Amino acid sequence: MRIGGKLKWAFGIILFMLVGEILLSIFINKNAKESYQYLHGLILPSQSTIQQIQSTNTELQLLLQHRLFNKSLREINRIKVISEVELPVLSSDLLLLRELDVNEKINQTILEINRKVKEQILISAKINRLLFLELDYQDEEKLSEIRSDYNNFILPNSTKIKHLLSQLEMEFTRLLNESEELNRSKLKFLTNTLIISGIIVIIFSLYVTFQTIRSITKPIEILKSHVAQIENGKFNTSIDLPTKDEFHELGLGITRMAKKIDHSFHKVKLKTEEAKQFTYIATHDLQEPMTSLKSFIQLLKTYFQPGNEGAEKCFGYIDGTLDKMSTLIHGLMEYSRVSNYQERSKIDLNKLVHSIKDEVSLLLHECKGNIAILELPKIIGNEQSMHLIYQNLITNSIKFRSPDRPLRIEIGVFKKDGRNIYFVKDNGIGMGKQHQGKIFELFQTLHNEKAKIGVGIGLSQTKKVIQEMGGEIWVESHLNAGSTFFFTLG
Amino acid sequence: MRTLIFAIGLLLLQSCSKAPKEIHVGFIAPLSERATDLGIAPSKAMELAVEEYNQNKPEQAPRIVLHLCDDQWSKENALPCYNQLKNDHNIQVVFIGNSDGTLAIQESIERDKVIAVNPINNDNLLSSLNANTFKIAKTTEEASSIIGIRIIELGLKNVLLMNYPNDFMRRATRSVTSLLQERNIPYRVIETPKGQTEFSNETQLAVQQGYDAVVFFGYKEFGFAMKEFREAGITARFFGSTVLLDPLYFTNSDGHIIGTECTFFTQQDGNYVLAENFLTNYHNKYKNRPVSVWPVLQSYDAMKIVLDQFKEYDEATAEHDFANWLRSRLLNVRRFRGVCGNISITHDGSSRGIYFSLYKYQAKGTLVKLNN
Repeated sequence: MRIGGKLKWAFGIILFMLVGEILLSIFINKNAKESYQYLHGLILPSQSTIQQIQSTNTELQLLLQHRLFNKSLREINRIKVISEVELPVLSSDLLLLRELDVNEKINQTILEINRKVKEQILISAKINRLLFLELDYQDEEKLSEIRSDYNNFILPNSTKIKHLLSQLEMEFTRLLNESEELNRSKLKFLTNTLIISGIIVIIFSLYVTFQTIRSITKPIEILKSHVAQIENGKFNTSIDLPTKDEFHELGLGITRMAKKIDHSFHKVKLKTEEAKQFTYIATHDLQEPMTSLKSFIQLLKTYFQPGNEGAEKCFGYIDGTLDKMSTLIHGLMEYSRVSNYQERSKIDLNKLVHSIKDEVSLLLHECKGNIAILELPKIIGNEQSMHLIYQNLITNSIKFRSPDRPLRIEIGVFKKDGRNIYFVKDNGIGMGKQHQGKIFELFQTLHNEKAKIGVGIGLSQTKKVIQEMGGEIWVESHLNAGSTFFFTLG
Repeated sequence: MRTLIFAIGLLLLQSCSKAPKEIHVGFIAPLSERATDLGIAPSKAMELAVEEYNQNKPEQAPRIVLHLCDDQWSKENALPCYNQLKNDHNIQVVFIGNSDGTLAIQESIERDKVIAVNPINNDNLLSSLNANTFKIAKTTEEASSIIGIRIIELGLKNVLLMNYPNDFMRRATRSVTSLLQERNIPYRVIETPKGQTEFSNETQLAVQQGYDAVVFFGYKEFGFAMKEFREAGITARFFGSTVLLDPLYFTNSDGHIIGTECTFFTQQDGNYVLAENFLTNYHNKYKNRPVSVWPVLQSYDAMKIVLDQFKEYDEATAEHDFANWLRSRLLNVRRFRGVCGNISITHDGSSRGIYFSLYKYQAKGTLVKLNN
């Protein structure tokens, strides 16, 4: 599977499980809310209504009793309020509970209460109406009828209503307890389910995440080790990852690339060998006829009478040309040897530069020159190469010294951008800007014939050595003011 | 894309700056001329109720704006007042205390689909009117019958009833005479014309007939009659209606109103704590107490009951048919805990729960409850 697909699947699975968890949580919340609504929207208001009817019914009975036996007219309006507003409303509230159809027993009880309350309202209104005047209490016949109503209807009804309401309240209390118990166990179960499913989700998500990360990092690790092998020159490595994703393709690509590099390196190596062979043949094989030519010239000189000015002049030119050719061939041989300096060791540059200073002390003495060696570091590198670099640069400074002033050479190092920059500074003849780019090319010397010394091998050899070490070299110079050669090491 | 964002921004801005819905409510009340105790203080009570509602209403509930119109307690002014309120403010609910005025605007409210609420009277005739009319007040017949019962209880044998020519006073008179008829107590009814302030004929008649009870079912002009009766040496017991506390009644009677019994309603008859609390708020706002408490308490409750419905304003339904929406809500008002008591509204739009008691005029502007 491709990486994108893997990630999509992993995130999809985690997301799916999270959504599942959220849905479960919503379900639990909804369940709890419904239970709460059931409790607070049905049972608790029902209990409140029952209690209100209970107290209002008792109040009505007591008010009527007071009116009847204490000949009181004050309660007329309160009885009106109870019989016209409060009991009808409470009774209809109670009746509404039937629509919820909790159970048949409750429904029957509610109907019975409602019937009894209606009777109570009617008889109360009748008593209230009949006992409106103080005079009414003097009418024994009327009073007897009213007392009969009170004793035969109001009192038993009131007791019956109380009894029914108590039954209803008990029934609702039972329902409340059952409902609370059910909710408790339901919520406990759902909460446990939520916790367990949450743990499962976390574990599974961790597993999916781990597997996904592993499926990505493992091929990266394999690729990394193969790339390291290629970096160390093992180009024949073959990466064949067992997966079918982009890493597999990348591995195959790297394998192909390594093979191509190997092939190219092989070709370059062959060409280099060929070039070396050619240089060797060219230099070595040219040296031999050169030597023979020199011998024949010496022999030829003997056939000419001394004093032949023209012939001597010609022989002089031929000798000069042959010497120059010999020097060039020798330089070419030296130049070609540079790439063979591969052995690395710890080098004390101070020591090395001082030894070179000793080597050139005779030359320095002749030109009254002086070398100031500043503190140089100890480095890991090829000693021959470092020796060659400093020897060439010092020799170069001596060669191109100014006739107008004693030679001063300063050798040191400084840090820039975290790199060591080595320098060799002199107060020689210097050079113009137009020459500064060419002096590192093979067989290139200064065009000032007066100052033309050497064959143009040293600096190009130095540049080659530095480049072999992964560094670079450049010069800053002003005509008649001196030059400074800077170089870095890889 | 920019246009789309701009349009969405504009829509959001519009929705944010949408002005809250306003509902205009009118109160046709006697603010001058006659029965001002049924108009001035009740309108202040309504203003207080509206102010409390607007300050505490839920965000989605509409703002209520109350507009007043003075009908001078005359049925002739009711319809012009209604039309003015409808045309100027597009009222959707109208409160009107005058029973005749309530009858006068019936056709208009039905046509305009406006809900009318009478916060003063609640009688049988009003209950038979169109379905848009509600009566959140005491029952006229029931309140007035207390006077009849009192006359019977006191054993009075010859009764003169004087009534002002409007439906409410006629109805009050009828509720007393029906009781007197049941007990075979002789009585006479005189309906005086509007604005009558000279009662020499009635005085002469009373002297001649030797009435031991005179019932004044009318307004401040009957103060002059009381004065003339007493000055003519008539010692009959005086009875009055629910409007005795009009200060001009006392003035016109020259104090002879004292001792008159009437049906009345004070905070003692309602939810005492709520009523006292309301009266304190009323005093704090207007720096006085209403002379006649019952119209104020009833008006406050009537307005509160209506405003209570707006707290659960259902814009979708109400916008479609406001009258139907409000009517169905008002018909479901049960045991509203108001200052007058626990009020319910019955299927015919009349209320139950406000019950008057017998009071006696004790001193200027003061009534005391009898049978207490």
